[in-house]
Parts: sequence; structure tokens; C-alpha cells
Amino acid sequence: MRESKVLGLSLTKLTFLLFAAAIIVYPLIWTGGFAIGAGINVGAMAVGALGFVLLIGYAHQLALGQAGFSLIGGYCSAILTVRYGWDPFSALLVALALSMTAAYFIGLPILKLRGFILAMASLAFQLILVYIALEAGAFTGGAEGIPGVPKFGVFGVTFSTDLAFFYFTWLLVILSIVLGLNIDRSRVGRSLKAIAASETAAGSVGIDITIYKVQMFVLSAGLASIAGSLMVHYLRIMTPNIFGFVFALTLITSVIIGGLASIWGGMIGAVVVVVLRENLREFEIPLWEVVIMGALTVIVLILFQRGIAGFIGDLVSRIIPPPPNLNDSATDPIVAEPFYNISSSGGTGALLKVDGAQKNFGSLQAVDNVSCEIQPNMISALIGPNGAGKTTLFNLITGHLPLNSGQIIFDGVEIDKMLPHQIASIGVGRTFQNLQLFDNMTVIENVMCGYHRLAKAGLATVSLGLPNVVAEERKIRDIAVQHLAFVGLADATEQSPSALPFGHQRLLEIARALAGEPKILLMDEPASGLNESETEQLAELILRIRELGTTVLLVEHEIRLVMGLAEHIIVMNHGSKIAEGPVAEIRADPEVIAAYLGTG
Amino acid sequence: MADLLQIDTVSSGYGRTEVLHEISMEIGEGEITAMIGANGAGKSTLLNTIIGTVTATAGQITFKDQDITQLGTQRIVQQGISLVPERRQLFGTMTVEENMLLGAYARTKEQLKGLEADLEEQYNLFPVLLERRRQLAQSLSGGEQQMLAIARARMSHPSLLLMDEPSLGLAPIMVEKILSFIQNLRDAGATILLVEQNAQAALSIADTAHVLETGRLTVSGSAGDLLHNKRIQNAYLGGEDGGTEGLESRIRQMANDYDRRRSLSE
Repeated sequence: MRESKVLGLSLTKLTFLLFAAAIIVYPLIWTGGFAIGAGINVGAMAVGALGFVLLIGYAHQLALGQAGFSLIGGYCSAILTVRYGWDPFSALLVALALSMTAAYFIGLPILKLRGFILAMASLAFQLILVYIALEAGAFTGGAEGIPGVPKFGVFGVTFSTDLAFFYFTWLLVILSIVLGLNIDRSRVGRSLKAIAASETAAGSVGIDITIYKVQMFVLSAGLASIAGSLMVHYLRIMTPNIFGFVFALTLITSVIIGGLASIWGGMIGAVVVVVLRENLREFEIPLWEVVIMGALTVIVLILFQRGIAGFIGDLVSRIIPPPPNLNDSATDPIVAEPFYNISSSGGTGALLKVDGAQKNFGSLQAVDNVSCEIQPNMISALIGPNGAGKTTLFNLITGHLPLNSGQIIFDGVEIDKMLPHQIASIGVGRTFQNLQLFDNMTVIENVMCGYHRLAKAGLATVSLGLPNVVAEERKIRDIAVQHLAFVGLADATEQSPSALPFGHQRLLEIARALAGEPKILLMDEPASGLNESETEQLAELILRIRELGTTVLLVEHEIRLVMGLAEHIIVMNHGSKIAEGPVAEIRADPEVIAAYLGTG
Repeated sequence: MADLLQIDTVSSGYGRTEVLHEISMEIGEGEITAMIGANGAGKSTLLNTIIGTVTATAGQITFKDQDITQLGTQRIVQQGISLVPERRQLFGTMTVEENMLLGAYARTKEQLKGLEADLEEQYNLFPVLLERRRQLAQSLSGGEQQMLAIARARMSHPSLLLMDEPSLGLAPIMVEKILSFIQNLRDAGATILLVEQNAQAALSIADTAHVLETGRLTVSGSAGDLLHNKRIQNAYLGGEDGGTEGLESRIRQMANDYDRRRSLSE
């Protein structure tokens, strides 16, 4: 991780020091009970808001109803402490476990939905919980709720002063931010951003989209639950309306104002929103509060699109510019030597075998009974007129489309029933016709995502920031630098992909695919949009890729590239294979000339 | 012939990055003007600046003797310039005919009268679109999509048609077809500014041509002159021996070298 240093401290450490100092000093300056109470309130909200940042800001899953888990957490804490006399901290932990378990079973079905439908469904889930709480009077106390919730305490030690509870709450805020930052700077954080940018591309490097979405759903439910438990002990009463629609809206507003894409955003937003709300209470007419909050949200969104945290981040990087982009690893910037080597498996026999593949879109037979074999460590090409079914065949191989009938075998494994990320994870890499880069990450992070299938760190180890995770991160970064050097992009590591010229974006996609050390690389029109000299460089790159032991299958219209490079050519027209063979044969084939090559 | 469009020392770009630096050129009426250049040279930016989706930061663009530099895109389209964008940019979930009708969106009430006849004209030009008029645009093949993009652009009655990489992603046989369509349009009196990565193709049908390199026009002349210009041949046409065979044979040579090295190491 490349970071600016101030007074010998990394920016993150400095931020944490200032943050901790602010927490310690705050109650010493504002000693009133009201101020400390507000501080506890903000802390609880900050924990809940972080869940929204991870789920909405990072994974782009618009599950707006996570406050429903605050309701579950709140009730669990209230019932266990009031009715059964439990220790509040133990109750909080049980509530946490319950909420996360519930989230797992709710998340699996609900995360199949997307965008606004997911937002509506999850809000509906929260409102249903509120109504259940209102109706299940015997259990929840109905609209009156459960009064007499005790002060918070840990293992029998009750926090007799609000000050102790304040520090405890903010300790949890710090811990949750550490957890968030650990996730942010890890394989998990990158995978979440990858899913947000392009689920197709995320799948193509082996990222299991469902697992990551559910993990974030469960984690954010846990954070919401903690927020709920803390709020209940602060308010000393639990009623259904505490965690109703208004609470959900306040949390969402906080996150948007604070900055959806920043781990600090939730906390900053919670501070701003609560401070404003408490001050606006002085207006006698409650409507003003709503109007001013609404107007403020709009203004912040217009002025700083990435929220206050984004604004502060920009400001800091302007005052303390990040260190120049140096190649800090020992790698030579123009490594052209092979750096991984696929041992050909089994030696003889096809690496990829398509047998009677059939794909229909309605009455259109996009791929009609196609059989072909791709031999290992060769460059093969798939050509044919537009609409011949080449990309469809690619998508069948990579699992992005299901077959109607037929069979696809890769490296001895039947892959035609597998999901894209499963196929990617056994060594099928691909690049896309219309580039699918992760624009929300830097160039090097894009390539680091490519290494996904070979890396190990999971959410649990990442959250704790274990030493082996740190070591693996360093290794992935070094490998990514090598791959960037291999394609000739060593100088672009810290740039945004969208700032690269088009030809370089293509190279970046290739580097990302290579980082997963694929046994076969499927390239969909890699020369499209490249000029002559770039095409020539691409040809050499493809030859060097074959030297690594990776088999290459091209779909390409740049016929000079195909004819110059391919050892085996397959021609498709109207969904069927019309010819197959070496270059000379294909070039002389009258059917291929009529359908594709033309006479020019 | 008279100049339809004049670009006078125009600079333009995105945010603080200037992409085009003081470009000056004219487009003659009834001609195909080709603009070739590498990725990132600013070819698309030039088209976007003419059509007004990017506003020039300096200089002046004159179309039919009228200053259009500061006009909004809709006004520019109404004046008679139309863009066939890179990668077609069709409205994929609308039908072929709806796409074409949207091409006439900027027309005034007066001009809307001949709508049916104009549709007819496009269908005559591209009969395959008539066959597919009720199909969704995204269901068309790449070549058909390119035809639709051209037809859509023509629906605003442009006297200048800007084309951004019409050959991109098309099979060789389809590239030939599209090129001859473009030639036919010119022969029927259309004025076309053609931006192409495929320099060989562009120069083979163009009358006048320019080379854009890192935001500056470096070579201008007749398309024939450029085809025989040594520097252009080397940089954009794959060497002296002409495009097609040159690049392919160089790639094959490279592949053979790699093969030899591979068999030696085994």
C-alpha cells in the first residue's frame, strides 16, 4: 500500500490518532449529560451506517432495509435483559448471532433481486418486522414496547455513568472502522468493488458473486444489530417505532452525506446528521427539521458527489500529494520473460472439447450443433460473420449462458453445468469485446483482482488483518506488477483504467486475465479498435502468452492477425461450423470466402 | 468545391485535459474527408466537438457560414450535422423503426411532414432494415446495427454526416459493404467526415484525408497522396508493401520465429 507520510506516520495511523484523541477529549469539553447521550447515539448510528457503506457503497447492493436487523437486535437485547435479567453485553452478542443467522437466510433469496426491486423488497422486510412487533404484544409489548431496559454493562459490571457507555460505544466504532479498513484493503474489498463495477467481469476472474453479496449482507446486518442493541440501552426503552422507516432514512441520509464509498463516511455522516438534528429540534415546528435535512442532503450531493469523506479525501491528497509512482518492488520494469508456466496436463488430447453444443434464443438457433476441439498450447481462432454465434459460443464455454444441449469438457472436467466463477477458477480466462474493466479501482488493483482464484484470504482472516493476509497482499501486488510489466503497462499502476488510452485498456484486460494464470485464454476481438502497430504488438503479446503455456482461443475480425497467428481456425456462419483447419485451407475454402472473407 | 464546414484553430478537451490543440481544417461539400490516427489522438474528440457534446475551448467552427461553436448539440443537429457514433450507440431495447424515428427527434414541426417518405428512403437504402423494422435493435448483427446507426443519423436530414469508426468490430465482408454504402452516399451528394482506425479502408474511399497525431493535424492532402506517403505507409498502413499482406506477413514471420525458438528449446 503506497501512502503519504506526515511526521513519520502513515496517513491512516495519523487519522486514527486524531480520531482517538477526539473521542477522549469530547466528553471532557462537552460534559453535559445531553452531549454525552448524543455522543452515544452518534456512535451507535456510526456502527450501523458502516454496514450500509459496505453493502451499498462497496458491493452496490441497494438493501435499504438493514435497519430491520437493528429492530431484531434491539428486541433481543431488551427481552433478554428485562425479562430474563441477562448481562447486557451477553445479550448484545446473542442478538448479534441471531441477526446474522436471520440475515443469512433472508439474504440468500433477497439478494437475487437487483437495484430498486431489491431496495423495495428489503424495505418491505423491515416494515413487516415493525408490524409484527406492533402486533405480537405478548412478546414485544406492542406499541408501548418494553420499558425499563437497564443501563449497559459488560459481564456483570454495569456502566453506572453514561461516560463509560460513551467510551465503550466509541470503542466499538473504532473496532468496526478497523474491520472496515481491513476489508477495504484486501482481496475481499477488491472483490466487492469488482462486483459493483461488473458482475460479468468479476465472475470471469473467479469471484463468487453470491457468496460475497451474502457475506456483506450478513456483516452489515450484524453491525445494524449492534447499533440496535446500543440504542436500546441508551434510550432505556424498546418500541417498534424506534427502528421504523424514519430510522432507516436517517441511516441512509447519514451514509450519503458522509460518503458511500468511504469506510469513514458512515461515521462522519452520523455525526453531521445527529448534530444537525439535535440543533434543529429548537425549531418549534417539526416540519422544519425534515425540510432542512432534506435540503442539506441535496446540497451535499450536488457539491460533493462522494460525500463529505470524499471531499476531505480530495482535500488531503491535494495538501499532501501521494508519493510519486515508483516501482517499489524489485521487478525490472520491462520484464518480458515468462514468469509462470502452465505444465500441459496429460500431454495428449484436447484441452477444450465442445460436443454438439446447441443454444437457442427463442426460434433463433444462435449456436447449432457445434463440435470442436482446442489443442493445448496452440493459438486457435474462431471467425465468422457478425451474428454467426461466435460470442455466444464463448459465453457457453465460460458459463455466462446455459447450453440447451450438448457437452463442454475442459481439462477433463465437464463444465457445461458450472457457473462462470467456477469455470474461471479451474483456469479458463477471458477478455471482453466491450471492455469490462473495474473503473472503481486502480490499474494495479484490476490486475490484483485477476489473481483471485489463486489467493486464499477470506472475510474472517481479512477482517482480523492477520499477518499471513498482509503477506499474501504483498505477494499479490508484486505479481500484479509483473503482469503489468509483461503487457507493457508497468508505468500505469496507480492510474484509473478510464484514464488509459483505449489500446492500453485492452492490454490491462489481458493482464488481469493472465494474473489468474489461465490454462486457456479466450480473447473476444482483442484487436478491435487497435491500429496497425498496436495490432502487431498484440500479436507478439499473444505469442508470448503461448510461451507461458497458456492456450489461446481468439474471436477476431482482424483477418491479418488471425491468418498470421492462428495455428488452427474454426469458421462459423448462422450458428453452424462451416469449416475448420489450418490457415491455407481456410483461405481457399469457397464457402468461407462467400460467407466471410469476401474477395477484397 | 465550396467548404461546408470550417474549423479554425479549435482547441478542445475534457475538464482540464486539452485533447485537441489548435486544429484548422475544412470539409468540402460532396466529399468524403477521412481522419486517421492512433488511439487517443483525438479523433472522436474532434467529432464530439463539431457536434457539440464537447465544447471547444478556443477557436471557431463555421458551418454553412454560420458560427456553431457555442451552440448546443440539438441546435447543431437542427442546423444539419449528424453523428454516427462509435460502437453504434443504438437504443437497444427499442425497435429498428423506433430508433430511426428518434433520429428525426430534433426536426422542427415543418420538417416532420416528410417523415414517412424519409423512412421509405432509408429502407430503400438498407432493405434489411425493412425486414427487421419491428425487431429490437439489440437483436441485429453488428453489420445491421451499423446500417441502422447510419439510417438513424440520416433521419435528421444532415448535410454533413460524421462517422466514427463505422468498420469497428465488423467482419471483412461487412466492412466492404459498409464502405461501399458510404461511397454510394457520397455519390448521391452527401458530405461525410469519416474517422477510421482502419486507415487502409478510409483512404481507399476518401477524397481528402488528414492525419491526427496527439491532438494536432500533422499531414493533410488528397487521399491518394496519403496512400503513397512513405511516413503514412509505415505508421498507419502496415509498411510499404501495402496494408493487407504487410501486416499479416510480419505477424507470420514473428510467429515463425517464436515457433523456431520453441522447437529449439524442446
